[in-house]
Amino acid sequence: MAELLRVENLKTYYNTLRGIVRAVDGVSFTLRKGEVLGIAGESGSGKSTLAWSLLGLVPPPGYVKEGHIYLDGMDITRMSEAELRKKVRWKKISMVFQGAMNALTPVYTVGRQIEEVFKIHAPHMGKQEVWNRIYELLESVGLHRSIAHRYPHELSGGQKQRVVIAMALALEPDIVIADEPTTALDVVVQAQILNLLKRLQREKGLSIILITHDLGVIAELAETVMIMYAGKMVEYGPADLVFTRPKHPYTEALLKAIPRLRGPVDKLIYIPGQPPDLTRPPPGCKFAPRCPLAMDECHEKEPPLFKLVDGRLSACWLNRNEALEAGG
Amino acid sequence: MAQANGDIVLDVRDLKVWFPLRRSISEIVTMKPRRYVKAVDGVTFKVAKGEVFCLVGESGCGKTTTGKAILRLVDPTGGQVLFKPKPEILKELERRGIKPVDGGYVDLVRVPKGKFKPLRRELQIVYQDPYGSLNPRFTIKRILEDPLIIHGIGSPKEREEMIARILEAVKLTPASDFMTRYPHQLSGGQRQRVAIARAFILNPSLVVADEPVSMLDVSIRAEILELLLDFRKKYGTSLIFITHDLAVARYICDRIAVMYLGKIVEIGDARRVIEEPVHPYTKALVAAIPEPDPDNRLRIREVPIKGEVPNAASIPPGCRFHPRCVEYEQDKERLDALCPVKEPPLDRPINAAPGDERLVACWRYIEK
Repeated sequence: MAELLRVENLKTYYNTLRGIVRAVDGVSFTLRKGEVLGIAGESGSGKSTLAWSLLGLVPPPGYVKEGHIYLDGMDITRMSEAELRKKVRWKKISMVFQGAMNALTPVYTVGRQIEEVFKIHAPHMGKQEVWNRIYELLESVGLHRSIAHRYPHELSGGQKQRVVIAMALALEPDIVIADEPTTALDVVVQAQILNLLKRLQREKGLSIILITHDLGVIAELAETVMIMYAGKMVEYGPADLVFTRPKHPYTEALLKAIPRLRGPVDKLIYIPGQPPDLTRPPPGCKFAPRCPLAMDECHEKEPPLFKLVDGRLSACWLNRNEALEAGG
Repeated sequence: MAQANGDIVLDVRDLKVWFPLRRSISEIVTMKPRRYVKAVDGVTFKVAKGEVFCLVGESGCGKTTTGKAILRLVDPTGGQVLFKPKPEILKELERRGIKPVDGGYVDLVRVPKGKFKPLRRELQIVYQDPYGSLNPRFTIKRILEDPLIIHGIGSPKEREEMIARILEAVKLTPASDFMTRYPHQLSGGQRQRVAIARAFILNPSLVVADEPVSMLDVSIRAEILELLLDFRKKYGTSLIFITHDLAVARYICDRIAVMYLGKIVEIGDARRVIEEPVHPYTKALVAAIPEPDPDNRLRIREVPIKGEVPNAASIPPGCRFHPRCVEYEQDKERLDALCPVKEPPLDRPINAAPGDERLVACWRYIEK
């Protein structure tokens, strides 16, 4: 299928008083139409910064240092703020921000807040047309149209999250980025929101970039999985392979650290230590100080992204013999 | 876990915590009765010595309020909380004029606030947020020393030794290094270990752990859970573990109570309840949880539950779950005289397997 988005060697840094934080440090991937890419990693791994970069919304003191983001052949990183607004945000890529449901304005009805999107990005649409579209949007996310005339405080958490998703779909973007879309919700509501995303993906052929720390949520939706650690992509490949036969010690450790609902109650393993300070990352592999399999070489030389026979990428020296080529 | 009566550390009976709602002028004029948010509405369970007992449920189900009411951090509206302190604490309480009920239990609900202090040594809590629960202006040493000073334990030198020992037990080593640090110099996981050290330094009999790993990264959660299990093994401490995560509960708990709108709907052996849930609400909770298994991908997940949680100020009559219950819907004719009318008691299900001690509050499974 057609390639929608191509990210090449993206580096997003933050200049701080303590030094340069390499939040995203050389990430490359592509996204096809209708593909769901799950990005997983711990807090501080750079997954949200990566999402903000895709919309040109990196908050200062952050900036895109290097790399390219091609969307329909246009390079977003070279665009001005005005161009981004006119051509990219909401129309091509929209985002459901983490905690966005709590960012709805309490003083406007839900409908008026969605109307705002059209006023700014589609001024040619008439009022009647806009409101018909708003009702249609609310119904497409499983809400009754009367919700448009309610205020956010009258809605439950799950309903607000649906409203936020409806807003993201307003201008029919090709790609929706969802940053921890279910983190603050209860499990029953979480399951309903995930069902909604699954349905939207299927019906509209939407491409979704799903960002979460919860590998369970990723498994529900993602066709392709990217595991991030300390600003780097450490493993990338089809979900079936990454979940069942991880090829990076970090992925493997993460999967073994999650308590399961079924099967034997195995002793959980945990990853000792903590992620590195991104202003002073270790010289070799970023994960080496916590890795149970680290060799001398890992502490000295950073592994490239090895391309494996089964098509996935892994940044670990242990894959050297299996690798087709060293990419990345 | 042993369930012999002598081993019971905590016996909660019909605990209620109701928060009164402010009345409007028209309600006062028309003399309408005061309305309450029934956060905890008649909860009964026992915790054995050295047991990890879990309270699970969605937000707003009253699990945290139950934990706090047991520790008297909120005042219960009714019920009994019988707690068995260590003999020396019991003596101290008797000296203060508090008579134990039979078997060396004290009813925590009836202990006056001014005489509660000796019991604080026995009852501790670990909060969810390690960023909010540690005083940012105190060093780790001061944070851990405060409870010892308050309860008049040891000389300064002895206290320092105790602090060093507990820091080593929570794996913050070298201890002398951590003592001089401030909370902001520690990571989330390290802070939570300080919070755990603070709870255990007085060697309490009961610790309430309120979502202690929910704010931590997956890779360090297991370490904190392991630590809590270590402590209970070493000191025989009983734990009330409050969580919304059934997978964590299955891993750490001996027994589990599932709460819905202030009531326990199912209680029993943790693995049995989670692996073969009986109550329709427990079934829905289990069905809703996403597991890291790519076979689930894009499959619409059937969660057998309707609607959303009602407001705790207007609890439905009869079984409080019946408006959302799928099984009631399917069997309406038979159950119509029960579910919307009468509140089901916690009882043994009729077809319980031998050895299954679970109790369920659902007419469909207890009605003969």
